[in-house]
Order: sequence, then C-alpha cells, then structure tokens
Amino acid sequence: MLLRSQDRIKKFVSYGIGGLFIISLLMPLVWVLTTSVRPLSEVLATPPKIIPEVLTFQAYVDLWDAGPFAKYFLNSIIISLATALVALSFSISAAYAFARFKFPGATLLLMVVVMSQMLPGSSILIPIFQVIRSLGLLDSHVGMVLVYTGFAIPFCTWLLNGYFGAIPSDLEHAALIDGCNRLQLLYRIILPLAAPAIIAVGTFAFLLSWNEFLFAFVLTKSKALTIAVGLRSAFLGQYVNKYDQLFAASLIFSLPPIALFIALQRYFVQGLTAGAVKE
Amino acid sequence: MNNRLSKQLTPYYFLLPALVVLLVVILYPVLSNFIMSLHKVRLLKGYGQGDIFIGLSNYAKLIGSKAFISSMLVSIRFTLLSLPIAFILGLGMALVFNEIKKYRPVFTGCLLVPWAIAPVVTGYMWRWLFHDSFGLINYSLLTLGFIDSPIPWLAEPNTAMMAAVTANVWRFMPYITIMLLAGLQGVSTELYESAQVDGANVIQRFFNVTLPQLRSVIGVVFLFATIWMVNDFALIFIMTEGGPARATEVIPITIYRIAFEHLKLGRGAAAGLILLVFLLIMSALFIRMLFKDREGTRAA
Repeated sequence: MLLRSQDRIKKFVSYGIGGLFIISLLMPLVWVLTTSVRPLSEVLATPPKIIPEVLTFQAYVDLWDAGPFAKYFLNSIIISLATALVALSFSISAAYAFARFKFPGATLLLMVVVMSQMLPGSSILIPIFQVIRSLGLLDSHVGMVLVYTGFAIPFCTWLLNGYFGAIPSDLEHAALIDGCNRLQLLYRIILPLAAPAIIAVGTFAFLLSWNEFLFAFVLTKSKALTIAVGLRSAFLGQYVNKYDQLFAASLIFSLPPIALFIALQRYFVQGLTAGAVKE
Repeated sequence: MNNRLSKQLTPYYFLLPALVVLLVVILYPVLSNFIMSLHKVRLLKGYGQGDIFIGLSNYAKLIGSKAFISSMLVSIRFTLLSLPIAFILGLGMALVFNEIKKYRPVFTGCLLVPWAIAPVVTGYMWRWLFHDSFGLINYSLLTLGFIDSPIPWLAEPNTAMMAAVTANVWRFMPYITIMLLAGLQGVSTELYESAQVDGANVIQRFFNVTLPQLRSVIGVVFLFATIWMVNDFALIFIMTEGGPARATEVIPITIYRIAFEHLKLGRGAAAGLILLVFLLIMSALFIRMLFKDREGTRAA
C-alpha cells in the first residue's frame, strides 16, 4: 500500500517536472510565434507586451512580397527534394554493394565512407568553393545538390548498409535462380523490405539541405539562394527590421522539419542511436 | 572468362555513383585543402593559376596571429561552457523521462523541436529574445526586479558569449536527452534490483549502476556534440556575427572571414586543416576513453 502511493507520487512528480521542462523549452518558440501575429508597431514596443493586443496574420500574407522570398522558398524545396532523391538512389546502390558483395577494398571503402561522415564541413569549405567554382556551378541548383548529396551520402549509406545486412538473403537466392538480375533484386526484394529505413534516410538528406546555412551562404548569390540564407536579406537590413515577417517566415520554414521529425521520430531515434546503444 | 570478370566488377558499378560524388565533394577537397594551405592562393585568378608555393608560412602566420589564437580559445570556451550544461540538463531530463511510460512519444516529440529546426532560426530567435529593448529576457528580468536597467546582452563580450551558450544549450540538450534515454533502456534492471536489495540508496544506485552502464553512450554523445559544436557556424554568425570585438568569433567564422573577406584562400585552408586536426585529437581522446571502458568492463 505504502509502495503504491510512493509510486504514484513518483509518477506525479515525473510528469510534473517533464511537463514543466517541455513548456519552458518551447517558451522561446511561443514568444516568436506571438511576435509573428502582431502588427509591427506592437512588435517594436517598449516595454514588450506579453499578450498581443491586436492579432493579425498580415505578416504571413505580406512576407511573400518581401523581396524574393517566394523564390528562395522554391529554391529550398527544389534543392532539398533533388538532394533527397539523388542521395537516396546513390546510397541505396552503394549500401547494397557493401551489404551483399565481398570484394577487394570493401572494408577500406566503408571506412572512407564512415570517416567522411565525421569530417567537419567548415574545414573543407574553401576547397569545395574552388571545386564548385571551377565546375562553373557557383550560384546554381546543381552545384548545391552536388555538395549536399556528398554530405548526405556517408550517413545514408552507413545506415542503409546496416539495414540491408539484416535482411536475410534467402529470398534473393531464390529470385536469382528464377533469373532476376541484381538490379531487379534490389528493386523487387530489398527496397520494399527496407522501406522504413529508406524513408528515414531520404528525410535526413532532405532536412540536411533544408537547414544548411554556411555552404549556401558561400556558394550562392541570388539565383540558387535558399531560405536559410535569404531570411537575412529579405527581412533585415540597415533601415528595415521587419521582425514580424522574419518570424512568420522562420516559422513557415521550420514547419517541414518539425512535422517530419515528429512523424518519423521513431526512425530518427533509431538512426541517432544506431551503434551507440548496446542491444 | 569475360562473364566472370564482369561479375567481379558488379559491386563496383553499384558503388560508382556514390564514390564519384564523395570524390568530388569530400576526398578531393581534403587533399586540395592541404595543398592550398601550402600556397598563396588568389581568389580573383582562375583555379590553381598564379598559386605561389610558400611552404608552411600560412601556418606560421596563423599561429603568430592574435586573431586566430583568440578564435581557437573562443571555440574551446564556447564548447567547454555549452557541453557540461547541456549534458547535465540532458541527463536530468533523460532520468525524468525514463519514468514517463504513458504518452512518452508526446514528450519526446516536443523535445525534438529545438533539434529539428534550422540553426539559423534558432539564432534569430535567441537574438530576438536577448534584444536589449524589445527582448523578452530583459523584460522579464526588469519586471522581476533582478536588474534595474536593460542589459545590452549582445553588445558586451561576456554577455554575448553567455547568450550564444544559452542558445547552443537549448539546441543540443534534446539530442543529449534522446541519446541518454535510449541508453537507459539498455540498463539492466537485475543489477539495479540487486543493488536495491543490498541497501544502496538512489544516489548510490545512480553512480554505481546506472552511470557505468551509460558510459559508451556518453562517450558517443560527447564525441558528436563536440564535433558539431566546434563546427557550428550559423547559430553564432546569426546571433552576433562573431562580435562584439571577436568575443564570439569561433574558428569556422574566422575561416570564413580569412577566405571570403580578406580573400586569403590559402591561409583559410590552413586554418581549416588546423580545425580538422584539432577535432581529430579530441575524437581520438574520446575514442580512447570509450575503448578503455570496454576493456575495463571485460576485466571486471
């Protein structure tokens, strides 16, 4: 009896602390949300008002006309989707080779893949700039997709390799005898079975390019500029401080990552903790 | 014979597309970075044209430069301040969330939000919260009577660092919590119960049963968090642009400045290589720590 009420108190305290923690963690975002639904005059009021006096969604309408924001938004979508597609197909193919074939250099190549995942991006910023420049791909969608694909491939390949390896190869042997070739095996047997991992990995590549700043900042100027970089030029400047629109745009920009993370949190947690936690 | 050869080549065909991309975007740049770091490279000339070999002079200049040494110290300070705070908060939350069984995905879902959004957005958000006249933080502190006049957070070196660390902790803590929470699932309950029977109290059980079993997860968390924190550009750049007076100018911002503001690509490449070596040493230390731990458990 005593134990049970102790348990109940423990549970109550855990949920209480957990809830309070989540609320305080999300407070900054709530504040930014309320900033985005006020008129600018109220946003720039001192002292700030905690509860908005006037509620308006004007910023969400106006931001599409603020500079080329709509173009930046489209660029982000194009570049991120293309990166997800290309990175996914290249990593599926590479992971399949690692998981199903024994060949000279396999271990070495896998090590190269794993090591490149740990490489800090800013340490190769300058040579990448030079490579993209010499290919004539500065400020182009293709250049950005190339760079982001390179950044996404190591993690995607590594995760898929583990997943493919866990699929029993009996099915494939049967299909091989039936006359399927390797590519058909990949499409008809492996891909359907590995669907969850493929979705997770594709989302990873999409979000990597969606959220990336430094390389987009250095490698693009206007034609292929993404939102991550464009927020600055579109809403803030020496004489303009459109904080309401900046945060409206930031929230729209943050919706895909938040939605994808919450929808796929199971896979993300698996991906993040893969290898780190003993089963 | 021909058939056999083509069969042997099959895996390489599958690998080819990924390897070509890695070669162009990662492997060649790593090599080229090293070569560039030994040259005086002019941005306005074509690629590789007019580069002058100057040996290790870029490195010598960097090590002799106050600005570069200061940026290394800023990076170390930024990481050494953020990591323990984020770790302790993350560990505390992981322990609390471990007791939450029902609706846990709701809690972890909310928890993931700071980790999901772009560092740029986090930067703008905290810059706004720390704004001296319109910011919520000064307003709250003034209203609660902790301060008499607004603090110009981002205009003073020490407070700017505090602001950047706060934003960084906010962003990284969810990752640490999720990792440790996953680690806690693997903590054996048998050991825990037998420790309880032996009369160990909550704190003893935490230090003697829970923590040792989390050690490998903790190692991974420290390794990745360090790499990501030292490598981060966007968050600080958006919040302070490295200012005031370089007080928050971390190595990645310095690399960017050297290369694209002072147009010294060779010297920037040398700085990049120093960053890489710096992180390699840190990683090697963490990996050794992990490895030692594995041996320790085997012996026990």
